[in-house]
Amino acid sequence: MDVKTQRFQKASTEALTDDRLQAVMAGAIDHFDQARKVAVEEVTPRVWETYRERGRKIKEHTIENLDYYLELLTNRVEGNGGVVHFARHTDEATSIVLEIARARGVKRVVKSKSMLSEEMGLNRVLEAHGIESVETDLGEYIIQLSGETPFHIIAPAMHKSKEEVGELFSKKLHTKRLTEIKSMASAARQALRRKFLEADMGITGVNFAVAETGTIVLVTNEGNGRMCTSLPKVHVALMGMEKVVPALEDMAVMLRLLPRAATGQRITSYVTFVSGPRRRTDEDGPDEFHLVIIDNNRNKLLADPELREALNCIRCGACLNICPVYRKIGGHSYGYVYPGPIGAVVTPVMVGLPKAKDLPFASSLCGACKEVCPVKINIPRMLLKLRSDLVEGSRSQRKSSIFDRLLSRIWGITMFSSFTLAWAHRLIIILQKPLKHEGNLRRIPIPILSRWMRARDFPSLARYSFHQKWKKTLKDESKGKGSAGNEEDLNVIK
Amino acid sequence: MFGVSKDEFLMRVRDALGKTEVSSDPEYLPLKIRRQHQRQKVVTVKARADARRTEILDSLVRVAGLNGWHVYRSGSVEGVVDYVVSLAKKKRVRRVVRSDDKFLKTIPLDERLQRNGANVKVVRKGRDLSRKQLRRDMAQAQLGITGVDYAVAETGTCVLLSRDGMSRAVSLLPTIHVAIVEAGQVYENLDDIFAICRLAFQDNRYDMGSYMSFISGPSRTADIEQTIVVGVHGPKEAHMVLLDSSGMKS
Repeated sequence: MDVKTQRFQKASTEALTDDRLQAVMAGAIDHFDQARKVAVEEVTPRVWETYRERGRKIKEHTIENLDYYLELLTNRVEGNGGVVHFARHTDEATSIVLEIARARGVKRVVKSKSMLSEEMGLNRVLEAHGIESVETDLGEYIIQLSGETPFHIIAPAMHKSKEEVGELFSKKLHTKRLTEIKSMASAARQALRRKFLEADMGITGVNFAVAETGTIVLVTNEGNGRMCTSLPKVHVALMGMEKVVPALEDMAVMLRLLPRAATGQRITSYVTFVSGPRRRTDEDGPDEFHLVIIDNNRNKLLADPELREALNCIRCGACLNICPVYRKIGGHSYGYVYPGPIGAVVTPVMVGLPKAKDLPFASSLCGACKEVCPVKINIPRMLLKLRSDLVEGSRSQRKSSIFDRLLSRIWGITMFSSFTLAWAHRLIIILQKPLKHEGNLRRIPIPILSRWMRARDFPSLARYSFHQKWKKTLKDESKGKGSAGNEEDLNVIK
Repeated sequence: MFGVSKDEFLMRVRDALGKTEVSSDPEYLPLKIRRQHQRQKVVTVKARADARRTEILDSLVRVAGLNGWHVYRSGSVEGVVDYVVSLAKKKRVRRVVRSDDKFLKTIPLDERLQRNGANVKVVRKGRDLSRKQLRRDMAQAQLGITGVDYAVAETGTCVLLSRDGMSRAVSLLPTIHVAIVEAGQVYENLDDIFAICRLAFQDNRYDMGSYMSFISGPSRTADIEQTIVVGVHGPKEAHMVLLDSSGMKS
């Protein structure tokens, strides 16, 4: 996928001013977040907490022993009759897939959703080699037809209204103008059913891989994952190297966590466990099974003990749905496959910090992402770490401008003693007079400030400081009955 | 050879982890349970399922209903057959495919469906069907009937293994899927199922079979405006018929 992380400022500003997008997003994102809350209530928050704790332990243990479990997984997949490939980068992964396809004369591919294939930009490469590659998850299909990238990791077409989808289908699938969502799904079913039956190869992602049994696990709702793994002669599964878990019984925990955190479901309609190609006595299933294990800069996360826990992520999207920043700027602003809080951590490491230096700052550090994460990843801590890397890093990466440094210098002088602070207070009271307007300041015509103030209120400084207030009135009041104070007091406390 | 060798890949992982040599067995507890102990574990699981049968069945019926299954609980084989036949009639089903399931063979389902004018194909490629033919039959069928290997009360799930006589597509390609569940196949939770599967894996020389499907309702999507639509790729309707003769004297 093309990296567009440098455009973050511009893209997020565009998203903020796109009224249509804001309206569509507001409803959609709340829907997911509410569903998750209801699902957690159903199992009770106490029990949910025990699942989270167990999930985290499983992932931590696996990542700490990743080499061991990848080896075990490889041996067991091979024991099941599958072939395992290893790719350091997306280029290697892509050539592996192309070679499998070329050697078997594959002309038509059906794909079920895989974020890793987005990292690879796989569809484009396959098409360039004359291989038709069709996304079969409805959301991904819509995205592919409109030539976009996924907006959300579990709801790729979240930003599209049904009118837009209806228009898209009539243009690309030559349906009549559809208005009902049901008939759109039905049109996609029809178009894709034929693709499934004709496909020579199925490509899927991997939600989890069980090392002991050599099994890949797909968590889906539509049934396209089952189609891709059952109908074509060849099945290729693309897996980020962090997706492994040790034991089959670990899946009991993971399957309680992922669907609830992602869509608020007790479990998805389908969970598919693939352990190699069809056996001799099976009635159907692919003759060949290939597992491609891909690094693509995950080892950079692994190598940094402070960022390693980002590899615990099970890609549920809960942190996106709760994030006050994602909820306003949406998935495309982040400029890479993984948006939202977890994306703000993994993207800079995957594409290089200088290229994505705005992302660690795309957070208010409110901590909501950490609270909802089903495997308790401390995202705010890692965002701070990346911010600190940016400041401490090489001069070219350094975020702080002359302006920033000047500002902190002035700040330092002001805060030096209560004496200087009192003088600064007096000075600002005078300076702000012409700008005061209903308790806030008007936009200050200095570019950096005016941009900041465009979407935010900047309260004016109160006439009296807390210190002064305390001396004059509050002290006595607090001794007395502890009144709530008047308007001016509230301003002071603000 | 495309990509890199396993050894080179794992060496990079080890480097990143700061390890200098090949990792030794991390002694992860669930992987350390030997076959004999796993068998004991499964015995306990089964005993618990038997002891709490009624409760577990009630819970299966409740959760499956919430997940979008049409659930029918029958005290007799005749009740099961009647339900499927009347469903086929109501939906004007002309073509039926069913798995070559041990239990389904013993009940008079095919005859009754055929008597009502439906064509019933039993899926068994080895005998008379080519891969292509099998697929065509399956894609044209309106109704697919399967047994199950297990059912899970916790999640309202039917577990189907893929093997001799059990095509993956019977529960996938037809418009309606009917899963016939026997009371003794139902377990309480996911942990129970995975304990059983692991024992099967150990018993079968470290092979758990090529495919296991958890089916927990009809195919669904919410990809357009978060509106749930059923039947996007797989079955539009999923029926769970539970044969529970516990209330009757055998």
